[in-house]
Amino acid sequence: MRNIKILHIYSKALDLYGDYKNLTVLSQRIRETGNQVEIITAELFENLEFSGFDMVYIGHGKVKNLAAVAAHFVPYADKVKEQIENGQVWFVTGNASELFGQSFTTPDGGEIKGIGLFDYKGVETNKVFVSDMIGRPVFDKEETVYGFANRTAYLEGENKYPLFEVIDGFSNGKTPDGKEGTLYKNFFATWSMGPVLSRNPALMREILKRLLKEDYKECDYTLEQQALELVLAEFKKG
Amino acid sequence: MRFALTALLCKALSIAGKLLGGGTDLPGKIALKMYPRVMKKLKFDGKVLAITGSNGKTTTANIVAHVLRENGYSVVNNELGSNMTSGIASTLLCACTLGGRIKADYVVLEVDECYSRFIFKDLRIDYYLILNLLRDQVVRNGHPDLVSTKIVEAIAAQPEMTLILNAQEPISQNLAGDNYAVYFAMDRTERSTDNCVSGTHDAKICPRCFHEMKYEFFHYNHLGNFACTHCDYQSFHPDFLATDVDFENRTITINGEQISVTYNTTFNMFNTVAAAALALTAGVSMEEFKKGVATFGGAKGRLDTFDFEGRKVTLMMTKQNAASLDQSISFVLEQAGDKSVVLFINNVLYLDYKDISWLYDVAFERLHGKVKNILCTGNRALDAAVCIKACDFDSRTLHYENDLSKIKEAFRNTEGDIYILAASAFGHEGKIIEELKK
Ligand SMILES: [Zn+2]
Repeated sequence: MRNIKILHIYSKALDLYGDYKNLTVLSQRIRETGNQVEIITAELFENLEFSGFDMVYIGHGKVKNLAAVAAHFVPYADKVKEQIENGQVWFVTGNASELFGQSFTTPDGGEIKGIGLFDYKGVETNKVFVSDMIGRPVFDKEETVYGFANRTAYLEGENKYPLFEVIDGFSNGKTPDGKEGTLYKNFFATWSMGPVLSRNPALMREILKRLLKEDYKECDYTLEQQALELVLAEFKKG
Repeated sequence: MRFALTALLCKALSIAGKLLGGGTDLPGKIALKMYPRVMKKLKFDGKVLAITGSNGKTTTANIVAHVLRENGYSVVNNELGSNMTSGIASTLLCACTLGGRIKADYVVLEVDECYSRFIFKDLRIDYYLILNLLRDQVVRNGHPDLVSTKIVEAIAAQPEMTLILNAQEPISQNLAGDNYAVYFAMDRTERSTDNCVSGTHDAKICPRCFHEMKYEFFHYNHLGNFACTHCDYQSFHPDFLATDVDFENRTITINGEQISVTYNTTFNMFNTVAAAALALTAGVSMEEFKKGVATFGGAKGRLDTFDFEGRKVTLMMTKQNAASLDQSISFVLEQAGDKSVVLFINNVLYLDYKDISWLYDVAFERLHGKVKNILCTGNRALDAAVCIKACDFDSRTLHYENDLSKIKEAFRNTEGDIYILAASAFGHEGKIIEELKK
């Protein structure tokens, strides 16, 4: 049995659209496999310590808050990169991805540094872009996932480590290039907002496997899978 | 000449629209196509009041218009749902003379948060009430920051306008800039809570310095007395303060004057303070306000009751946003007796997105032990059920049926009075009622 420790950073500053429920459902599944879980939150202006955690989570947030978060987060760049390179599981949703690139622009035209783990740059448009997405996860191309984006920014630059091969809908960039999200070692990121883990058993399983390793057990996803199939069927109908 | 023709056409289209049962937006839309800056030509004899906010603007605008009419003032106001540029153009062009004069004592406009910046470019607005900014229907507006940026743009176009702002909502309280502003607030009530019980809380951190915000109490969502833990940003001293809110006897005291109202929800009590702040600032006397609000007919069309096999069914229309559904849940919790909740959840209407992330922001946990069953229906019934399951409801409580032709049986499997919470159903809820009556 494992006691999985999850660090949820900026839970108050980056908290839009039910994203935190990703951790609620993840915790439920960890318990269902007979393991234990503990979630610790760390906020803006507090000291961040990543070691000792199995996973780190950052959610989607307001644009102004993201800029404030960046000023606090970027000084930890080396520590963050070290953890990710060493295989710590990260799960990042929505515009929080912008923190991990070279830089991102703000609504007033400013530019803010990211931690530089990836080559991409975040570009703020000040316009709401909304789209559904269905795609296949790179770790299992038999599976299909559903995502939904509501964003004002996009990522510019080649997506070298996509999480999903897009069948229909949004990509990381401004124009669809068939690639969405990031999967680099155990770092997962997606623009899919809201409870993407709740609605996509394939993604939930993959994260559980990487967290629980030999203590991983299969759970009952009947309801979630049925719900997803109904969504996918609507895309087939067109 | 151009103005007169446009106004005439708008009036004619509006009359034709009423006969044919068409929408109220279309005449204004056509008028704006013909003459884009047509509203710039309007002249007002009376005062122009605009009301916006994520939550409560229709009710508040209706209270204000009712109070004014009850006291013999002539009023022009826009109808339910026509709060964007074209709806406002329809309203005003139908009410003006061919010379562009609006003779009413008061113009009361419910204005969409995102459209005020377009409308305020061309119209003189004297008083602007901003009720609150909460995360709204995700797809339409995005988050409150985006909306507040647009409102700041609207305010900048009207430097002479007086603002009426909520001293218990950190995001919109912050918007005055150089404009003159008055503030309203409501004292702690018996229903206030120490912690935020809603699923959404849009101001956990200070909008000025990003440090943690502390709240003395909450009315609903993040509305309550606040103070930043770091800088000096806090609830301002209110010019209009409600005290002694008595839900049972339906009275509220504003600046020391006891007022009788016709409703007993927290939301409408708060809307009453906002309405009073606006009306009194715009020249209405306290006596006039008291007299008018005492006969207000309430927010019509949101609640409907009927019988299903000897059980009482209440149909409640909500919006596809968490704050609205949280309010409906509060209403359900205030009702006596055994009960079940039916959630009618569909794709994001018009656009057909399969998103239900807003549902995950609803505090369904409040229904634990308080309802017999939660039945999810609509084309996103199963996704809604996945969401409810995530709130730790077991399979005895949680039911789902996405096939409306089987809804009667599904209703029979629930216990107690039934509350149907229909989220932005736009008439689709009629299908459920039709099936139940078969
Ligand atoms: Zn502050």
